[in-house]
Amino acid sequence: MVAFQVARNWCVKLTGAGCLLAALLGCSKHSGTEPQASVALTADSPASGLAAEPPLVISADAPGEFTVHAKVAIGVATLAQLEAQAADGSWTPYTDLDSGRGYRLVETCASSVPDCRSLSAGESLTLAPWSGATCSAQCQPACASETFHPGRHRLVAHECENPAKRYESPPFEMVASVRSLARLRAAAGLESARIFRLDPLHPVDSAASHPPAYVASLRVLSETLRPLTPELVKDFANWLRREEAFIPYQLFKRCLQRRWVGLLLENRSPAAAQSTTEVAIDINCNSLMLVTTDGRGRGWTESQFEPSRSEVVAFLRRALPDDQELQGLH
Amino acid sequence: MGIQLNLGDHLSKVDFWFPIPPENRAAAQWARTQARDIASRVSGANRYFRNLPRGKSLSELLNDSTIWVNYMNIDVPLHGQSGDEAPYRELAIGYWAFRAGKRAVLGTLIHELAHINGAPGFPSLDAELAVYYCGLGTAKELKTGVDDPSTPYTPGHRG
Repeated sequence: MVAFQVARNWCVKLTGAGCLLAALLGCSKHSGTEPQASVALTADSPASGLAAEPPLVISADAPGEFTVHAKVAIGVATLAQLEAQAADGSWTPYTDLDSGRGYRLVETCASSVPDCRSLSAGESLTLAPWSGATCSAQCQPACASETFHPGRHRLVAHECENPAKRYESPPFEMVASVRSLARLRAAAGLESARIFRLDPLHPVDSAASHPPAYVASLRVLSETLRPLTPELVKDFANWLRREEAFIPYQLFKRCLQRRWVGLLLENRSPAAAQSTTEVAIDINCNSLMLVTTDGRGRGWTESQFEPSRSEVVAFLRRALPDDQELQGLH
Repeated sequence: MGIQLNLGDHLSKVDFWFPIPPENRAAAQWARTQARDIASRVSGANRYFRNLPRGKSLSELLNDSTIWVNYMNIDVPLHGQSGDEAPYRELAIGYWAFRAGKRAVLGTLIHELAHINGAPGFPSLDAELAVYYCGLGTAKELKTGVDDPSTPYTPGHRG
C-alpha cells in the first residue's frame, strides 16, 4: 500500500519519462586502460638493470592497482612512494597520502606489517590499491574534503638495507575521476555476472544490506535473477570502459527512482575482498551506481549515462528478455 | 547579491544546462525569495545545513554569489541536478520541476543546495531531508514514508 502510494505520488509529481539524447551517442572507441605489462624498472644504477633480471618487479594493473613480485629473497620497505609526473617530465612524490601515513606495501588495510617486509623468492604481493586521491588514498576512510589526482604516476619501492635502491612500476595514467576509476575497476578482469531486477520501494540502510539478498542497498527480486551470457558480460565491460558513454561531471539528480536493474559482477582478482562489484542501474534517471570494496571499505560512486541510454536499454532487453517492462522501454 | 539565476549572463560548465527561459523566471525568482524567507524564519533550516559536510548554513549558501542556478530540459523525469566539482558550483532546475509548480521549484532548489553543501548522492537521504527541515514536508511524511503530493518533500528519496 505504501509502495503503491509512493509510486503514484511520484507519478503526479514527475509526470512522464522517455528516451533521450540519442544524438549524443558516440562511437564505441575504447578509452579504458588495459592492464599494463609487468615491467621492472630499477635501481640506482641505470646500467645495472639492463642485462640481469631485477630482484623486484612492480606491475601496474588497472590504474592504482599494483602487484609486487620478488624474484629473489629481498627486504622491501613497507612505506612506498607514489610519484606524479609534471609537465616538464619530472617526478614528485606525494607526501600527504592517507593523512601522512603514506602508501604502504600491504595487501589489506587490516593487516599489521613491520616497517620492512621480507619477501622470499617468487613471492608476490597484491597491494591494497591507491584510490587516486590524497586524503583517503589507501586505508584512510573517506574524507570530507578530497582531491583526486588524474595524470601520469608511478609507484616506487625501496630496499630496506639500501634505501637508495629503488624499484619503479611502469608509469600509468590515473583516469579523470573517481567515477571513471570505479567503472574501470569494475570492468577489469570481469569474468561473469548475474542480472536481476531490484525492488525500488524498500531500500535499506547500506550498512545492513549485502549481496546476495541486497545489492546497492536495494532488495534483489530473486525470481528475476539469471546469469549473463559471456557475450553480454563482454558488452557490459566494454560499456563501463567507454568514457564517452557517461557524462564527465559529478552530478546529483533529483529524479524519480522507480525502475532498477541490478548486477553482481565477479571480477578476477587475487584479492578476495575485491572480487565482487555491486551494480544498480536506475533506468528512469540514467544513473549507474557502483559499490566496490577496497582497503577503505565499501565505496559508492554514481555515474550518469545519458549519452548511452539507448545502448543500455538494448543491453537490458537482451539480458532480461522475459521482463515485459524492460521490453517496452525505448 | 546572493545566488544568481542564469538569465543569459552565465555560460554553464555543464553543456546541457542553459539560461532559465523567460516563462520560468518568475517561478525561479519566487523560489529564491522563499528560500531566503525560510532561512530567516524556519529555525531548523540553517541548523540542518550547518550539519552537512561542508558546514555552510542555508543563509550563507543563499548569500553566495558564486553559485549559479541554471535550467535544463532533458527527457527524463528530473527535477534538478547539481555538481560541485571544481571549477564549478552550480545547479540546474529542470523542466519537470517547473511543470509541477513553483513549490516544486523551491523544493528542488533546497535539495540541490544541500548537495552543494556536501550532502552525498545515492543512497543517502540527506539532500531530500533538507527539504523537510526547511518546513516543506509534514511530520507524517517523515514518520510514515508515504508521500503527500501537496508538499515538495518526497520521503525516501535517495541521492
